[in-house]
Amino acid sequence: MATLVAFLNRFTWAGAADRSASTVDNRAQAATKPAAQPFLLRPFPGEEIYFVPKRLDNSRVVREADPAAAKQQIATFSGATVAAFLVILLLGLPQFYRTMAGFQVEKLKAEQDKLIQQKTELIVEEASLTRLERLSELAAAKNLVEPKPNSVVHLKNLHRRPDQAKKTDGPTGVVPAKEIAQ
Amino acid sequence: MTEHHDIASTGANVDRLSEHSAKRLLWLGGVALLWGLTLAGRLIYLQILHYDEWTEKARMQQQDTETLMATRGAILDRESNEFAVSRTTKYVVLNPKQIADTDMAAGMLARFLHMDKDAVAQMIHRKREAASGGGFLVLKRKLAQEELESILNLKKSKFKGLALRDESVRIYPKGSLASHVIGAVDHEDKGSSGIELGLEDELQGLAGSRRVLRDSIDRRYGAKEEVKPVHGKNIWLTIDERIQFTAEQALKSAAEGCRCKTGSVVVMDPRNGDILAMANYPSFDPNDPVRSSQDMAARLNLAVAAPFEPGSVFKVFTLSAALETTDLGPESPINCLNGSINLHGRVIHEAKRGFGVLPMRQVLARSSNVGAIQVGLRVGSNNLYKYLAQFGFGKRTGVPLPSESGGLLHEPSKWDATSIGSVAMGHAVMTTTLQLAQAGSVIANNGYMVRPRIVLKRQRPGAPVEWEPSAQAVKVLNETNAFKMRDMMHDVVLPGGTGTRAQVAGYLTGGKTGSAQIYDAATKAYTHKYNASFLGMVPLTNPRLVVVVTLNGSAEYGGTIAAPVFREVAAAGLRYLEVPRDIEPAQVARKMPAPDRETENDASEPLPAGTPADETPEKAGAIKLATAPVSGARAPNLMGKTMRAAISEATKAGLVLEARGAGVARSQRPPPGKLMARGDHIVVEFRRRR
Repeated sequence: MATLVAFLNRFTWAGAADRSASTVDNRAQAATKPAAQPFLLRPFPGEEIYFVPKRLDNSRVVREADPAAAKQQIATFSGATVAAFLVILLLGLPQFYRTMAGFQVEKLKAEQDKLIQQKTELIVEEASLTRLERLSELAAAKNLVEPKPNSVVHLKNLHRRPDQAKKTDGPTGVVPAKEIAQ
Repeated sequence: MTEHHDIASTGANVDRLSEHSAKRLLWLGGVALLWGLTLAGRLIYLQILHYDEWTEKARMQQQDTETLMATRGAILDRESNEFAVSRTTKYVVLNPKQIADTDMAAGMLARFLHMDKDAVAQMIHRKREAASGGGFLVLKRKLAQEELESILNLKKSKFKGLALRDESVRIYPKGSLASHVIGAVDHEDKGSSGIELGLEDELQGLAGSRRVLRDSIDRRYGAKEEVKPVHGKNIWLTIDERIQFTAEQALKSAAEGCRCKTGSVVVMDPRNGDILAMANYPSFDPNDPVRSSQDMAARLNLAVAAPFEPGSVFKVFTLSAALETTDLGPESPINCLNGSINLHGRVIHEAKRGFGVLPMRQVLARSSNVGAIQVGLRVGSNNLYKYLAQFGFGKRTGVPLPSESGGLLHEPSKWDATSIGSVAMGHAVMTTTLQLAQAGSVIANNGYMVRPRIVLKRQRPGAPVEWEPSAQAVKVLNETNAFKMRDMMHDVVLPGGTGTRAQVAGYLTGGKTGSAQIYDAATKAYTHKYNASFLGMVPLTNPRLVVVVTLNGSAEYGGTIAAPVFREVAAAGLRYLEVPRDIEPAQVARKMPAPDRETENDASEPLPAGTPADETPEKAGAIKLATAPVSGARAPNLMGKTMRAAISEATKAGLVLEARGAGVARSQRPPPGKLMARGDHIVVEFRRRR
């Protein structure tokens, strides 16, 4: 088995036949004498070293039980798995929460829309029920009559202060220019 | 030996195993490489070569752009009672191209939507074969809750081509109440009449949109690129629901009683121009769609869009111009020429019997045509035109109601020799009911004209309230002349006047009747049908209401049919607005020289049956407005007085003093000398001496 350097040389060296120690020597010389063979590559360090595979029979070698190592391996593996899970969880959790919150928000929005609809319907119903035409009919059915003008005494009006005026009264009435001038 | 053999055998096995493992590894590596390459290739195909296509498909599946509807603004009365409200509902659409079995689809849809199966099938068929290439078919609008749930279930069961869309529905919970003012919307939810059309831009709002994210089972879980809708403004009108209702009921009752074709009532607060009621007859329910041309005619707001010859009501303005431009006064004698006047060859008669010489106040009270012409001649064409224009005739009032007419008032240069006679008694001019109310308000508001105002305030949800400003008051009449005019108008409702039916118990009332013959364009002659009208104001000491009633096509006079409507509306309005009485009920009216009823030009009829005994003029004590401000007082001059002295003086005059600030009185409202009723408030600002 050749070294990596020798393996690489197979692709950089032209011709397998030239692959010999002399060539290596030549190339070593070329390193010192670039003028003689200017295109010869300088050898890599350890290029001349070759490894010879030796077959060993270790079939009868039995691994000695090492419970501590096994435990360590399990612990390492478990730790790595948990760490990986936590990392994934930490990275994915915000997105998960965002998605879940999105479901919640949309659900609440739908509920809000529904409540607005219900409120509108109730407003419409109230307005329909308080129609003066309907109230007049109900009053007539119960024999209720409007009070005569003489029967009405406006106590509230006499004692109402300006700050108690109804909000819907709006801006005060137009004051004639003559009065403004005063 | 055996051991050696074993070792050799084991070594061979190991070799075989290693070789086998290497092969398997090679295969595995090859498969993994192939898988990796396939995956990479597929990724390149999906992510690079067809990126746009698949992104669009994913977006279509996971996202949906939905329109956020802008709610149309509500229309409310001044007390926030809802006249028009919008509600969101759904309508169902169908894409006919996605329907495989038309018969089956039509059957299911017809059952769930309560429609006719054949009609649905025909609609689908027609839409599919349409020249435009199909598109969506609107199956049914304004779905009921039950129908909506059925359609949602259909959608869940993978019924293709079906979709639900939002739509806004306009509801008018008060029905026909104030329908001419409110108006209506068309099928696209856009205003088609009334305030709905006049303020369309403010009511409609602007729709928004957002992209909704959906999961695999069509649940929403988020939204992005949201553009919020801008909701329409809520509009508060100056209308008072209670007065509006009373006006409509009274008008309807009167119009049906006298078989009038049309009629209108306008109630206005003369102090600020607020229109408290605007009623028309016939009326309509804006919840109902327009079905015929008759429906369209009923939707016309006659009070602003239908000018008419006002007749004798107009004499009020002729006489007002006389007070301003001549030396005539309420007691000035006017020669009524015993009932006829020859005006450059045109003889004009009284409606009934003629009068001799009458004080000007009785010219108005008895509605003498000749008297009014005599006064008009004294005023002159230019002055009469000038004052009528200042009263607002001939131009629109500017309320945001569509189709408002400006009436008709020709310039003097276009008048012929007899026009001044016609104009003086309310002919050859045309006016709307609203214009009459505006002009009447000038007299009620001490000679200052305020523009009518129909919108009180507006508010976009979440934004501050925008109050509608009152227009600056413009002086038209001298304050004294306005007071004199009110005094003269009081005579109209007193016994002997033409408008006795207008007297409101407990309040000093003033007004003027009008009965103009209707001109028939077909026969080119005046008919015996009248534009019966009444212009009135109450209480005269400090008018809070100006009411104009017109009834068109009646055989009766204004004093007979329009004055009672005024009385009913004004009495109710004063009660609703809690206006204190300015006279005791026993002091209803001042007696005039006994007139001969037959000589009235505007018929003065007996009071209707059922009138309370203490309301009848005959039982009432005599009151003279001009000389005795009954149960009222003139505003004392409090300027320069200390608060204690001012309160003492105001209390003596029967007035309630509203003090502002401290020190000595620097300004007061109303000004000194103004006629006030007992119990009225006088606002005084006090400041310390510098």
